[in-house]
Amino acid sequence: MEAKKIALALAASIALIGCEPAEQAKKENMLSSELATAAKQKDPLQAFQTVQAVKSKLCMSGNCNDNPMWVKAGEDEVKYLTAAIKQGNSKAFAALYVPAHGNSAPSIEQVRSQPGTLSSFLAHADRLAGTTPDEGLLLLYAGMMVMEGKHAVKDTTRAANFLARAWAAGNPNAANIASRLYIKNNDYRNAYLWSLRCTDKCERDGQAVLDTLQQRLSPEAIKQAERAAQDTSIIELAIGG
Amino acid sequence: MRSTYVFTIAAILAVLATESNAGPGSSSSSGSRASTSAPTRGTTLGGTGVGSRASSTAPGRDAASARSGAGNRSAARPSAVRPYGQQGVRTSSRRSLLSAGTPPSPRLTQIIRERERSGPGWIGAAVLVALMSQHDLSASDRSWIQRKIDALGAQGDGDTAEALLPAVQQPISISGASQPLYIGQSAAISVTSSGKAVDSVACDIEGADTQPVVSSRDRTTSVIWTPEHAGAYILNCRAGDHAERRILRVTSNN
Repeated sequence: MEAKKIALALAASIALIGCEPAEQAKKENMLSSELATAAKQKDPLQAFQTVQAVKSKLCMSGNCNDNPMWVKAGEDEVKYLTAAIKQGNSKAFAALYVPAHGNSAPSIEQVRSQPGTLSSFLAHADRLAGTTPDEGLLLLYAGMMVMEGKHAVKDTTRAANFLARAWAAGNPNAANIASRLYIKNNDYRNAYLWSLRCTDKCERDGQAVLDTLQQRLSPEAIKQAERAAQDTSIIELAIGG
Repeated sequence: MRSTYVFTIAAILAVLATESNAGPGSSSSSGSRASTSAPTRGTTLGGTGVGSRASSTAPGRDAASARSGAGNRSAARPSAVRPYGQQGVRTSSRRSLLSAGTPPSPRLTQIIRERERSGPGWIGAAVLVALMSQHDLSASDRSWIQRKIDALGAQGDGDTAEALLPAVQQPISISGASQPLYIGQSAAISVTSSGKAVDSVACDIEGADTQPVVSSRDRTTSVIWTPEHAGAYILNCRAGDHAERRILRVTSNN
């Protein structure tokens, strides 16, 4: 009975670890090989992706961090991603700041928390042309970073510029985020203006938001915002100007 | 000595008896006061009486009256136009949003509790809209907030006590910025300052490799720019304390 318990515990332990010794060795060989491949790659983002791919393939059990080789893989990820950021690679910034691309892997968290990473991202967003949907997405998240002011200095004007450029680059949801930006600043005229621009594929926070904003404006202010919303060059009405 | 005590006790009993006979509402008890005045509040804010109150001397009434006269949405929110002096008077519906119905997520519950604690004990539509603008809310929390906003609107209790915001003067007007610009082609954007005397207009374009040629005459400024690359740029123009920003779209296709 006691032996049966021990056997069961052993089986459970193996299952928890996720692999038997032979399987573990096989994984380590594969990881080692991929790390060597990544080291030869000239593009740091590609090297980062190589390491990331092999980690996600092999490290399914979640106990990989205990092994020195997995630790090395994590360090390589940080090294390659940091180098890609320094090169101003948009995809590297996307991996860090765009939820659809990025993830919460420790290596990504580590790079994100490095001093200067966010300011590099914002400077990169400043330089983006804003001609593709991918660039529009980066501009959107740059705008959200500056709008929230959690990790960057809160700057409404800069946030509005990023969001307006994201919208011009074809990101429909930038209109909704811009509306939120102005709501946060109690600027209901411009919040309404941007809420009106949230159409088609734009995911508006809710019709109730638009209605409530409208209820705060006089008929003249509603017309003014509606006219302004039609002029796609207008970022905001000058309030108190 | 003993007779003095008896007299004192008798006097106290007499006073208590007098107060008791006066009935609720006349004593200094806050509970009695609240119970008598509550119905009055409900009547004040509940329905048609609000319209006449709205035409009082509160700021912003012109805009509010015009809007009400036009008939748009005024029926849907009878208490929307409320004089400033009445802002502190609320209906019994002003209670915690969490007091009825299914509660939202624990996180949103906590946010609402904090907001209610830091204010008068309730939050209105404006705060709900602001909450809706938090990007990290779940879909179910958004839906919960929207239901609450709808409910407040249906009660005519949409926290719209402030005067309706009027249209604003735009001291700088810009024309020629909304059409697409093309790489290598000169584009002219006209900037006009109006209103009080303002300084000459200064303009620049953020992110542009080459800055525009800006020349002013009277109150009109010409911004001549030949873009070199496709993209979305920000035109910044300033005149005195005023500033105006526009998005300029540059494409390669003509």
